[in-house]
Amino acid sequence: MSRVWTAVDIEDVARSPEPREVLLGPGDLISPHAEDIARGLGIDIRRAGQDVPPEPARPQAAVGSGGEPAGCGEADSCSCGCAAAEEAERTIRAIAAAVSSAHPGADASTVANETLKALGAYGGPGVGSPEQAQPLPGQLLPKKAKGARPQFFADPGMEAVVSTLVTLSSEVWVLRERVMTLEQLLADRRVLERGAVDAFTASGQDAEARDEEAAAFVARVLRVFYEWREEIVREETPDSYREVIRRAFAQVGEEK
Amino acid sequence: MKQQQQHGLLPTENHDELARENFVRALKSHIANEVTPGVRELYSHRVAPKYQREMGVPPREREAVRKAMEPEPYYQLWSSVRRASQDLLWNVVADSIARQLDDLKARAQRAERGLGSLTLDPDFELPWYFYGIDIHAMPGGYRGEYAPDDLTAGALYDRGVYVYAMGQMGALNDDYGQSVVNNFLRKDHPDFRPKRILELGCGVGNSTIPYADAYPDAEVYGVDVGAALLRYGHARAESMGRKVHFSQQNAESTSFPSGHFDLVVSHILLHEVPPDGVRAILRECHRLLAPGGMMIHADFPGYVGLDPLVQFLIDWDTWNNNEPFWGPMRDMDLLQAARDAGFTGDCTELSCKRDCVEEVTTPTGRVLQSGERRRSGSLSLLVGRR
Repeated sequence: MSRVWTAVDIEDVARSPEPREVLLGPGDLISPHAEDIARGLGIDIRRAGQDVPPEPARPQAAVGSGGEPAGCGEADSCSCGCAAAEEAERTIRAIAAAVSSAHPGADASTVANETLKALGAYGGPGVGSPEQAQPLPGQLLPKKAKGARPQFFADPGMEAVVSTLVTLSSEVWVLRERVMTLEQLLADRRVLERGAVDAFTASGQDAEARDEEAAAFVARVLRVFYEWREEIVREETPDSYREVIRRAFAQVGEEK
Repeated sequence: MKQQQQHGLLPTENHDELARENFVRALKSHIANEVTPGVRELYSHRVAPKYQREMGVPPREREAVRKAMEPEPYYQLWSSVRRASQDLLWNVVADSIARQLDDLKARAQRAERGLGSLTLDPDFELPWYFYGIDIHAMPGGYRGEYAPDDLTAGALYDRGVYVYAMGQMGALNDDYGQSVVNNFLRKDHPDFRPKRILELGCGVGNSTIPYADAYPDAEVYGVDVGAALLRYGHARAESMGRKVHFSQQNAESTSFPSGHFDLVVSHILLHEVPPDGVRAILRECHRLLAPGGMMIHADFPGYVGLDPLVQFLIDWDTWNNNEPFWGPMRDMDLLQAARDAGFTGDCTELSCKRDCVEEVTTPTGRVLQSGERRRSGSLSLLVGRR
């Protein structure tokens, strides 16, 4: 799989404790901006099997000087790296086609420019690298999907508070449900056996009761939505609250 | 939540994992029934009147609604809790699956009966639109692989979607397939007898198996991009004694010969690829169908005719739930796209001999109509005849 190196990738290399160099695969592309950043940060850029820095990325990179495709033709074992270059070109064509359809009627240079932007050539966001989401060291699976998580509050810390609170609520519920199970088992059998809780399965009727309990629990924890809804529906504002205070102070005789 | 029907591959939950899933279900249900109505109230009591006062006109399109709603604290908190519930859902299910990965692999091996087949492509090229965003915020996406012969993505999808849909997709998550078979094909085309059937974007085969059941004499195929999904789907079908041929292929361009299929279907696939991908898939359907063959894409209806607030509410997922193609698909003229793909002709009867295309709304199946919430839904079908 070929990859497009952007300024962000170069900055990541600069931050990592790894050697300060980038080894480009045969079909890899690097944006001119990323090359500039690398030069400024003293990071060497080498292409596999080459000693000299490569030319900046161009969509026609896989086409030879004679206008013919430079490659191994139909040869099965391709050692010149053209398969990867062709794959990179296919990626670029796919993005260019998407750009064209998003900008109907745009001229060729606009399409080329927007495509380079989508590829992250100007240090822009790009459409992301093809690598899959990787779990953190010591973890089996990733905990976050690829794609930046949206932020709804002006203060990003609020997202963390909400997320933590939702998870904490979940864990509180887990405790409650565990207690319910224990209580039920104790009532049923008058004795607690090892593994009895983990082996427990709620009957249909019990599961229904639990659904109702969970609904009531969530409604309690998220009471704030009811409060806000009532405020919205009653069209209450801080102004009228302050007006009441103002009038009260006015009645003391020290209006301020 | 009703119990998901066991099959040979379905992951199991211990006491606390099931409690966490119960919480997610209760939370999602509470948001939908008790919190989301407040967003409409917010709009009608506060946001729309303010907009009207300032602009002199009501908001006329969903972007205007979005700009006016985004600064509102109620909208922000609602959105944040919704997204947190989605993140929690996948993590709760993934933690449960991580505990039993080895067991799932052993069960997959035991399930093998040699009924159907599984063909993976080690050189498969992932389309660019799955590079940077894992669809519906499922960590790892459809393509992630985290162990040799990994099944994680399949198990995560099978159990995660069941919890996500709160069981409303049926005990086997097969309601979309059942709906097309029972409420459209058997009703409107009772004499249609496809010999070869293909499902594009088949995932774990949850919508594929209803076709194998409805047309027992047909060869049934499914393609998808994710190897782990397909390994799981193959083992799942084998464990259920169903014969399906799964292969790792891009629906835009498959390796099947032209005119190979009498029926090509997809279920909630189109909204997970960008418009150019949809157009390529429609062209591929046209190429793959034999004369008289039919394509059916079951997905959500478009935005045309919906008021700006409703469009804004639906479009929330496009921006905030890793569904980047959800909105663009709903803005597409799918009928025109199908005509451009070759499904031309002006006939009104799908039984005619010429290529033609139409949109059909059909009720969703047994579960969405008579399930625990007893609420009827509908599916939008894009139907093309070769």
